[in-house]
Amino acid sequence: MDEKGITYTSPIYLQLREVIRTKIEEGEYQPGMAISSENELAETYGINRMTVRSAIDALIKEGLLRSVQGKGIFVVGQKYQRNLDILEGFTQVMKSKNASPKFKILQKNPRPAGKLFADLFGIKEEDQIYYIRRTCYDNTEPVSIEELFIPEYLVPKFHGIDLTVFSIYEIYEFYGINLVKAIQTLDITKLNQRDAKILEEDEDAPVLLFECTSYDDKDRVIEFTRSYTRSGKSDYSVDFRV
Amino acid sequence: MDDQGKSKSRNEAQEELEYYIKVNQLKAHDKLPSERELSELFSINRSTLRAAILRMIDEGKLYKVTGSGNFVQEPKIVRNLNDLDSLTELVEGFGKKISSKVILASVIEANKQMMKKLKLPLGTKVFQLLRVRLIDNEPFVLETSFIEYQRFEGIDRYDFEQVSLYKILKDDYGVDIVKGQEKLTLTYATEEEAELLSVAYKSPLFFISGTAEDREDRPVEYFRSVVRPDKMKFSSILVKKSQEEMQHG
Repeated sequence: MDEKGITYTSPIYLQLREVIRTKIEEGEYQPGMAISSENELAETYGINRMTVRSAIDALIKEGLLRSVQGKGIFVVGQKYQRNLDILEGFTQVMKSKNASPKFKILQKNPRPAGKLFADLFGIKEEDQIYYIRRTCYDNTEPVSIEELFIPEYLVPKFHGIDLTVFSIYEIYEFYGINLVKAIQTLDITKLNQRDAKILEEDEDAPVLLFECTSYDDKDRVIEFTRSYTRSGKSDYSVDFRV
Repeated sequence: MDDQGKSKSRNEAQEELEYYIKVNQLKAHDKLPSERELSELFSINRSTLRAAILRMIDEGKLYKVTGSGNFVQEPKIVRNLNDLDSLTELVEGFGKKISSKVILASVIEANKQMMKKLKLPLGTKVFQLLRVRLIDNEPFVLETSFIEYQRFEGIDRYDFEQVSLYKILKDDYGVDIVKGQEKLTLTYATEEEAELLSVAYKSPLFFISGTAEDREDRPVEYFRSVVRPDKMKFSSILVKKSQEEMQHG
């Protein structure tokens, strides 16, 4: 729009807005990461906080930034346009309809792929993959424990991304990964002691075991997930067609 | 804590073991090397390895014979929910024999639930069919079907131990089941279900319920099944389709 017309005579907040935009475009601020705080920006440029706030608000309105109470201001990556919105397959249906699921990260670390995942992702045994383990809550009630395995080469800056701010699917979009297919299985297993405690169930309580291998449009395996879901807390529904 | 540090975690131990089974092409009832041998082979301590084996037993991938060792469990039959392949073809594809036992076949009046699912007025005549399906003479699913009676008059005269319900609907009534929705969850065996499926009272089972529809989107069958999880698991292939593809079929 009027970006090209910004000069040193333009209002300060517009100039700062373009500074931040440039940093995002040039990759100094990566999608999923926090930008400098309002105080730091005010200090760096010798301007007052209200002005900084106006610049940031404008970018939040544009959808380039996202503000998270108590956490900071985060860069939202460019979303790739796609017309893929019809899904088939299991859909997890939470019992309480109006609650949005919340996650608590139990563990998030890189680790060597090992033989099984090297084979699955088509990488070397010593290549790194990210391992994430998290609890999914429906309001305050734990519903499931989820484990995710993602090869590092697909999401190199993954470690710096706050998974309570962005969903994994947003992160894939930032990296231009287009998931098109998933193979899912649903089984029943028992909870071990550690997981039972987290899910507030008895040890050995039966749970639904859901496993999913996701592929992108280049037929690469993007992630493997496994989740243990408490009975009665969530259903899986599926549409079938002959 | 047990997942971190230098020593391999239970997860990694399980991965090693699953890869070992895959690469060595171990088949159902093949014996695994001893726990001592495996822990040396994978450089994993015995207690971690044992925890991984226990988990694989819980997941139905291994079984233990006291005094003899650990063995590869028979794979569960995988039912793909996206296609309506008959159970018969699926089970026979696994090299097993399937049979049916009719527990109940009667014409009843639609209650509120059937009314909603089949879109019929309360009290409409409905054919109810309760069958146990067996694989190699072992029961694995208890299936209840509800079908509008007036539309399929005379359906109560077939012997559903010998013929398939969908085949009769198609061949004798000209109704093709082409799609539907179903819901899966976990339930616990009632006394009756436990007896019919030869499992312990209150043992965990899959509970599946849904409707099957014909080409005109008309519900034909409302079904409720309980399935033994030691015999079967479910799969689904999720595909993203563009709107264009959807519009063109």
